[in-house]
Amino acid sequence: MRIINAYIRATLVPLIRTPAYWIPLVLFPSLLFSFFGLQPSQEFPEFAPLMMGSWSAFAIIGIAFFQFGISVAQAREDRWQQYARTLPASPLYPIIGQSVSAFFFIMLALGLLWSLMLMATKIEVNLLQMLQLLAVLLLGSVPFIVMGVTLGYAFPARAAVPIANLLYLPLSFFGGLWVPPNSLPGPVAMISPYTPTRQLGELAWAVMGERPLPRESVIGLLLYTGVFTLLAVMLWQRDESTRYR
Amino acid sequence: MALAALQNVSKSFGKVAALDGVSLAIEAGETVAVLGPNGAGKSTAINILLGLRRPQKGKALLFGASPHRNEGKSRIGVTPQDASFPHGMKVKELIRFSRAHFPNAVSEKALIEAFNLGPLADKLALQMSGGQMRQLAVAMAFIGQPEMVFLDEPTTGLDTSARAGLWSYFKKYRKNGGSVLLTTHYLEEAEALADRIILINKGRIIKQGSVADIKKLVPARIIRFRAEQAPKLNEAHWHKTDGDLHTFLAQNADDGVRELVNSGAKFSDLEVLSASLEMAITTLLEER
Repeated sequence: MRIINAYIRATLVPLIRTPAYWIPLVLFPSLLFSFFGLQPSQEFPEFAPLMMGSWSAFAIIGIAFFQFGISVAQAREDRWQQYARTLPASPLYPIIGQSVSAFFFIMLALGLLWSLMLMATKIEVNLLQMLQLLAVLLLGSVPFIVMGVTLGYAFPARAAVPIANLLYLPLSFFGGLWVPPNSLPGPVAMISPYTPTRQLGELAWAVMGERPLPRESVIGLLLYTGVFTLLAVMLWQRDESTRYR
Repeated sequence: MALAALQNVSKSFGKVAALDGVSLAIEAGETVAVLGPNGAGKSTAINILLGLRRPQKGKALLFGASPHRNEGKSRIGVTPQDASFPHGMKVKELIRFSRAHFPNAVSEKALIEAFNLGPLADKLALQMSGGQMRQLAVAMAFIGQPEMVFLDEPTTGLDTSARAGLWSYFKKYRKNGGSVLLTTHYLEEAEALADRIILINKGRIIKQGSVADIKKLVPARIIRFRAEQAPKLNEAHWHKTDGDLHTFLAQNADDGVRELVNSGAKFSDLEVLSASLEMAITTLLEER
């Protein structure tokens, strides 16, 4: 436990000391919601729970994507890794460190977003629903974590940030997380059902609408996880054979 | 059983052979210095022993097993050649992070005291000077009370007093039974610390033995004097000029001095010395 704690601290503390990293990640979902989602949520309180699902998914995807993607890209260029690899440790420890840190920032982002929604709208949700939403979104974030890791192995650290933004923002829009899927423009609406963000959105909306989780969305996310895991492993092997050949 | 060993290891990067059939072993209680020019293969040898590189041929063993195993890693300490630290971590936090890996780690306080890191403990590691970072990197090799340490150019960039402090720590560690594999560009460091020297060049071991053994391989003497212009000495096979100070390496010092006197050159401060380790190594490398 002592060693796991050490890895959690070693991941979390430097990130907390970098407000430029976490403030945008934590604030961005609430900020965008207040620009685009607040007014419709106030005008149509019956849709507010669905909005909560959408914007919560948006918040979690961002952190999963950035936390894992950028950290992998940076770690590949960090000479500290030479020393870290000589320490007697399981390769799982850094992953645990990243996961706990991501969870910490997810809770901050959701805490802020949910507080805003609860205070500024007439949303009707119960605690169990919110906990279910959190659980489904955490599980559903796995393919986005793997996508982030793939990105981290595919691009150098400098390129990883803009590329992550380039994928994260359009994917959120295409998935119907900012505007409802039925309001998406024609060509985007055609692509939308196949995006991973849409699959996660469908799960979140099912929880908030108190419907069973749609099986095709679960399968879709599993497929994305499989494909990106394969890609991530291939890129990891390439990286290992370059840096530690 | 050797604590660390390379058995007929070859490794190339593209067309460049970094190591070519290298075999070496470090026994318990030994301090071994690996010396050679830049690009000779010293760091590649260490990295293969640490599992950071894979040999194309041959085998690396750490405590008789693969260097990738945690059992071996828990018995060693490492200072990499170009050590760096993660962004946003303080010195004391890095020490705590490292300590968490070892069941019998030295106390934080003792380590900070031993390496004079007290005033730096609350500083972000990346805000330290190059020398301070080097000092921390060396300190971190000793955190787990290791049986063996790998020190890749440990004192590069340190001032004389910091270097002397580390030497005294290394000597104490060695006296307590610790083993050291060291690479260094400071030959006086190898001379002061090492029981054995492995001389490596172009990926091959040229010579190995004690400091005295290596010196004996070049039974030459140094003739040093001051003169405005140095005469040509046929007896000398190496010559260095630094201002008006001329240093010759000669197989036969008597003949060399005789030649100098007979040349009629005006000189002063004549000295005849035994060849230093530096001279011996330079000569051995030039012979190849």
